[in-house]
Amino acid sequence: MQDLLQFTLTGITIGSIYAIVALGFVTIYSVTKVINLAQGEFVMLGGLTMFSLVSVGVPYWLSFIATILFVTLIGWLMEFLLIRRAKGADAISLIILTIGTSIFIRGISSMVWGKDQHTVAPFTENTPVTIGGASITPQSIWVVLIMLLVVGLMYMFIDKTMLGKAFQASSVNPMAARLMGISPKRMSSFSFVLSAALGAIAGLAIAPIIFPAYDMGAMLGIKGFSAAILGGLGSAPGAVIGGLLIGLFESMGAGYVSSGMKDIITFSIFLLILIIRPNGILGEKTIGKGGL
Amino acid sequence: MFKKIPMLILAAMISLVLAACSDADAGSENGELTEYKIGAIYSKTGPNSPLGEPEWNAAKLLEEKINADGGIDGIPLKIILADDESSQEKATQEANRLVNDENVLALIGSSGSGESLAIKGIATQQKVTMISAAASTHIVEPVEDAEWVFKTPQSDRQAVERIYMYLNEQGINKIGTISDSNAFGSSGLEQLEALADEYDIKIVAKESYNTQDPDMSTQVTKINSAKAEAIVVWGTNPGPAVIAKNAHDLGIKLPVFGSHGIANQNFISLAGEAAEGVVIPTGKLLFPDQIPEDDIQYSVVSEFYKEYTEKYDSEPTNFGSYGYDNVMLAVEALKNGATDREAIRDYLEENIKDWIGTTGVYNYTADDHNGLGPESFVMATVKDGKWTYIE
Repeated sequence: MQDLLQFTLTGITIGSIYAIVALGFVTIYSVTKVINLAQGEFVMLGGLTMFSLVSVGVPYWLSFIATILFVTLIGWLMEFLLIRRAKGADAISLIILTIGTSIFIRGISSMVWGKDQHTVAPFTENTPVTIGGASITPQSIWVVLIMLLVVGLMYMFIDKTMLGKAFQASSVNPMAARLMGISPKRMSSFSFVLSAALGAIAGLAIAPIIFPAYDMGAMLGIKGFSAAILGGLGSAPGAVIGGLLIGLFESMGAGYVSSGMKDIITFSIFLLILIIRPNGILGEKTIGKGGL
Repeated sequence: MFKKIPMLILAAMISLVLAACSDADAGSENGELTEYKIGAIYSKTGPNSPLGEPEWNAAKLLEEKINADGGIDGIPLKIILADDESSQEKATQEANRLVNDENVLALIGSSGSGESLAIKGIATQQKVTMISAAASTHIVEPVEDAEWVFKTPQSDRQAVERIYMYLNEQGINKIGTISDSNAFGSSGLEQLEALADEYDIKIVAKESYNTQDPDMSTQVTKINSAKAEAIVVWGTNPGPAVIAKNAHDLGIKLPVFGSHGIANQNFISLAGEAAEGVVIPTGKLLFPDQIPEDDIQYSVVSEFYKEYTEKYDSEPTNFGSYGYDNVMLAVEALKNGATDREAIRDYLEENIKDWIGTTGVYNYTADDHNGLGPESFVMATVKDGKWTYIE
């Protein structure tokens, strides 16, 4: 029983990390139909920028803001310098472009931060909290809280603001949106900025748990992408559910079957769900119909 | 007409002399070598660079030092360094170049097991002695395939033996293992399983993880529930640091043992206070200042450490010691008159007995081209944020 509780808590911790990464994929995809495979690199940049700032003594709140701004700038540059120039190319070419960008960002980062892993101190005193014999660290609770906060804010933004409506509109029908005076170009740029910001938030939140290093983006990218697909590409709550499920499958698979087979178990269930619901758990029939 | 003959002879003689001169440039004069050429392939760049860089530096340091002291019996040593960029293709290219074009007497390297295995074939085919600086046992085993290949680092086998010896001393006989699913971790696990019976150790839980997994609490919980008395972690950073942290956060008080793969300061800075008490087997170069003075390797280790840190302003680490031993073994053969490719091989196999290197004391035989025993490892633990020698 105590073990089950521990496996669940660990699963939620891991799952929240995947979920927070998945949110970034969803944002760009729903507007531009581009799967940004450099999303993991945004997370990596978030973690490492956070490390650099904290290690020179910048207070945490200021580091948060500076990290988000910096990574957002990178996201904007990526859209402005690469994606926008290649507009008109089909989605596949754009996806390949994002792979190239991710390799580029990783290469530069390995020169800036070196190849070693780094450590960032937890946000608050990190004495583990014990619940019924199972423990969870306060930093993991922070990650869960930040993830929930981000999803809440995203919902408010998309459903309750004019900009959010415009965002949705250019996702549903760019031509019609244009006729209504919305610039899909600006929305595309905005989606990259937003997802870079989400990546940065993910990176800085998990920095104290995962040891940030230049090569962590690929793994997080794959898991985050899987979470986004599982939840239904284009759905933010779906991304969260997808992330948490993958985390729980991994933890339960490792706990009750074998840690060597946890990936096999996770992705077998993953495939099974996709066979039953090809559009993902919360996905609509035509994915990306603005159901962000 | 006849007057021209002496001129022709003179011309012929001059051209012979010139030819001899150009031969001398290529390295020999009347069949005598004018310099000893050794090829060294290390992964100075790429993912293996933390291994390759100290090895590269050690080779450069030794070349300079030996030549400043007048070479080997008056003949200068030339080490041709090549960077394989941590790629097997590049390692193969460089090995071919060094063996065929540069005509080296012996080949040393490479840093990674994959790269070393890639060039093993070239060394065997071309009959050139190769001394590898990589860990895998497969480089020198089975011995029939490794006639021309030697290696200096300890293998996983000796690390496991050393840990098991220590566990026996501590009276611990039930362990839970957790290993990285990569080549390093799975080959370590293989040895942990193979040697368990011999040391009367029971593996009660066998867990694994992927190098980049963010949290291993599940595996640690399982090991704890399986009533293990110690956790043995086989991997390189960051995995073992995550595990130490998770165990610490879960309040699990089991002693944690690591592999020689985390014998570096980075492990301690990653795991922080959770690193305290973690025990590993390591080469002596991790803490040259703590090695007792009566240790047989004391002078060679501390001298190398001093020279290295003076020149490079960084730690040589255990990898530096492999780089040192690789060069010095070849030099030892050259010094003793083994100056062609075959003689070097034979010398190493027949005459390296109780040879003191920085990694350990080597005893090469026809059946053992690694030549080290578990005693070449010492045990270390983290105390006050530093690796500390366990007597």
